[in-house]
Parts: sequence; C-alpha cells; structure tokens
Amino acid sequence: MPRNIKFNDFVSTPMLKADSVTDAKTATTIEKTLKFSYSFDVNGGDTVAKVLAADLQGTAQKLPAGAILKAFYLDIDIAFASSGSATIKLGHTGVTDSILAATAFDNAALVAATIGWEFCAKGTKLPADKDLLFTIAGAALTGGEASIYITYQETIA
Amino acid sequence: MDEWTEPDGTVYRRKENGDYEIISPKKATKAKKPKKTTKKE
Repeated sequence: MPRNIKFNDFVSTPMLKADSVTDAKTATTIEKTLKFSYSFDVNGGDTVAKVLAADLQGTAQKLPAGAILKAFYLDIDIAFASSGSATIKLGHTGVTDSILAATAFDNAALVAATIGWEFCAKGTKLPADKDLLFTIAGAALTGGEASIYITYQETIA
Repeated sequence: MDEWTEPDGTVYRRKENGDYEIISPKKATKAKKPKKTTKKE
C-alpha cells in the first residue's frame, strides 16, 4: 500500500501526550458525580440519619474533602412509602439538610414521575471527607429504594 | 464526627450500627406555674 512519507511523524508521540486528556489534567476542572444507594430492605426505615453506601452491598463511600456540593438526582426504583407523615432529608455529617431540606416522602421532588436534577439546598464546601446522610423523620418509611446521584465541583488550588 | 447539634437544636448522635440517632431539642421555655401564695391571716 502506498504511503505518503510526508505524514511520517506528522503527529509525534510527545505531541499526543501533551494533548491527551488525562485525569490529572481534568480532575479539578470537571464536575464529578458519586452514586449512593438506599433500600428499605437493606437500610430499614426507622427515624434516624442513615449513612448511605455506594451500593446495596454496603461498599463504604464518602463525599471528598474540598467538594463543593452542586446538584442531586434521585433515581427511584421503588416508590417511598410510609404509614405516617415521614419526611426525608439529604445531607452530610454535620449538616443533615445540605442537599435536600426535609421533604414529605410523597412530595413531587421524591416521586419518579416528577423528579429531576435539583440544586443542592446549600452550596456547601466540605471541610473534610463526609458521609452522605439520609435522614428519616416524622414517621418511619415502610418501603422504597433509590439511587442518589450527587454532583460536586472539586476545589481548585 | 460522633455528635453534633444543628441550628434548630436537634442533636445527632452516632449509634453502634453507624447511623445517627435524632434527639429532638427539649422545649427550653416551659410555661412556668405561678407561685403559690399563702395568705397570712
């Protein structure tokens, strides 16, 4: 097959490396998202602030130090249920309503058909690694399962 | 962080299973009963 030798080393490896998009270059300039999981069957529905894990197997995960909380989305697999007037809050250790203030379990913000990406209630910058808290108050939940996506911006030095 | 108090006075305290117990703030201003006054005759 004929080759045009003018294109030999047209783009050198050092140039490719210089232009490549690596995690080191984008780590602080691109927003990141972590997924946490809640399931009534796994976590229960009692009125406490529950520390959520990355998955239903309990893989521990924290929001990182320096993260500026931006937005969240709840992917509802099983609708939240309660025999009373349960409310749900999302936040982190130290501030239980930094992401979502107390909201009725059947509010549009927590129902799959009407849910959407929402800005976090407070533009909190985390001073240290923090657990994600899922706080149930008012009454116990009797069902529900959801994946919770939290988007944040890392602090740029 | 094992325990903290939120601005509304609610205390969150870590339980053995890792979750946080919610302790409602005590009502700081209870209505005081009027002092009994004994009439001196």
